[in-house]
Amino acid sequence: MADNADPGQTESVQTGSVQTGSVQTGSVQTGSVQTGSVQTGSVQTGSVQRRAFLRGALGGALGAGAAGAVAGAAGGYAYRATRPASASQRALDNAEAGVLPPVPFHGKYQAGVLPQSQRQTAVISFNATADGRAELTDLFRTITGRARFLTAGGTPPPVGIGAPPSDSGVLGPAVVPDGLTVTVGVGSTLFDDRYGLAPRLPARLTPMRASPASR
Amino acid sequence: MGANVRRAALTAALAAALATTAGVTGACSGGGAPAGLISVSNGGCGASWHLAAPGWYTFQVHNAAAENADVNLVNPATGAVYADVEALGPGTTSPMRLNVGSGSYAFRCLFEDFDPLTGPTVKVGGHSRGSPAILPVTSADLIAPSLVYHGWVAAGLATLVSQANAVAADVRGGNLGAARTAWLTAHLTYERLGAAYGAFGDFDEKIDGRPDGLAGGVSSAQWTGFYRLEYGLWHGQSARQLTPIANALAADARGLRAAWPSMQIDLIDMGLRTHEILENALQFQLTGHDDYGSGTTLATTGANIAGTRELLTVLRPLLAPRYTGLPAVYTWLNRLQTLIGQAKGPNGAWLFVSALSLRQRQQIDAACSQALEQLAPIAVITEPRRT
Repeated sequence: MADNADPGQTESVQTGSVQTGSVQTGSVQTGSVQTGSVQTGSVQTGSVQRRAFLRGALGGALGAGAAGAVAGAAGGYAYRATRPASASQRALDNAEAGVLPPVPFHGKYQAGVLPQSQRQTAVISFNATADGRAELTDLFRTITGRARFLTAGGTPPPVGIGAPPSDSGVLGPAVVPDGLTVTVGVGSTLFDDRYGLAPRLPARLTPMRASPASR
Repeated sequence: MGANVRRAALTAALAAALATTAGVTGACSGGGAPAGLISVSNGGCGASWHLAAPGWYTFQVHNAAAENADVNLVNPATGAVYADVEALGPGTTSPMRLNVGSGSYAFRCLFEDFDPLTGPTVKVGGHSRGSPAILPVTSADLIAPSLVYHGWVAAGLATLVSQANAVAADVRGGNLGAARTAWLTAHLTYERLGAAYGAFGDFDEKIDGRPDGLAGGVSSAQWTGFYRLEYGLWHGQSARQLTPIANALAADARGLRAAWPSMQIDLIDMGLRTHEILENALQFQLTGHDDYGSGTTLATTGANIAGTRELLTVLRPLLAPRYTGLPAVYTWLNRLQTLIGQAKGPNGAWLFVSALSLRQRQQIDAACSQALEQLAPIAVITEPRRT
């Protein structure tokens, strides 16, 4: 995720929503991906996600879950698998079933920050296109709600008869959390004059330099 | 929900899944309390049942008859539908899950070839809001809007014919500069008609087809229509080479106009088209895919917005009382239109999407995506239902 990525090296994506692995995330006003990388170790998420990503929607079936980071001016979602935390019977059962236990969404820190690096991670960054603070708030509420649900799993509540089905058709009617974590971060340019966040800029938050690998 | 609607709703830009499910408490991701078996047949529609309190419930709806049934849970006073199970086969059982609020409920059974049956009214106590209900839209409700729309398209086709004839005359006369100007005018007329997803059947392929999938691609002799002509006009092809193509385009426009009076609009398409037109624009215009040289895909998107607005106008009497998100639809269409209007060169000329700044492009794509998310529910709301 390069904060100051050269537009000439980035992939512009045409849709406002992103579906990643066992995650469907929709960004209300985040229209475009500025930079993105999908790191995966499995067949399921390799070319399929890459292609879908270029098309503008990340799709696929990420078996083990993911974690992420979003950002304002530039940031991203990263979806990362978390390894079984213990040798408890439940973890063993889950392992035998081929799924990882859910990782709590709520806690002192965001999930997915402290565990060691994961076998499958998707890192996606966006430019914020939200027009004003209210829309930005709406965006983060949407991301929060979606991340909370996807990491907990279950059947999405029906949204009522006058709405499209809550089942996206990608993950099936019931979502398996499978160790998914979603980690969200923001880039320093989110703290510019657009959203009234300038006074809140953390002292050490600066634009990320592009890494050699992203050139 | 019909298969068509389901498909469209799913592909309907993203909207769906993620939707900001406002009004539905997110915590309720469980299956809900079982609410027992609801058996329906030609003789009775969900005989006796009761619920102790409001909340999330799953009804198991069983069809004990020998015919397919649509089973709705309705407000018996207004006929508004809370939930439905469509085309439930004989002997099968299907879950119906919803948040039951305080109020009156009854099952309504619609068996093929039988009059509708309504079961007993059940009152649920308390002061709790459940899943919203919508007033069903019937085929009869949709006929008048579809006739208005049909007439609007007919008028547009008359304009198209004269404009396509003008393009052909310019090409035949060797006035390729004038032909390029006339081409854009005629193409935008066609795009305003909402020709998404083959609305005009085989004519759409002839008039506005892409070379995708044709052997030879852009040099395929089978490629006809506006885009083929655009390719030639903006790639230095001669008037002589383009004359048969322009003549064929004009002839196909005349053919469509002649055929249109006997072409019927599928009623379910009225609502589907409200998002399908822009969905196509997002996929093919805002990506630059359908730019064959003129750099006018932003203009095309503008024409697609106009086509979407026309559908919304004719459907408005049905939508206004049923869709609280309708104002947001206009908010986002307006924003998209404004952004496109601003995305012009210094001389007011249209720009290739690739010439836009990253920021401009992101904002346009975001506005289009959000407009689509707001448009997506309309297909379900205006799906014709039996009552």
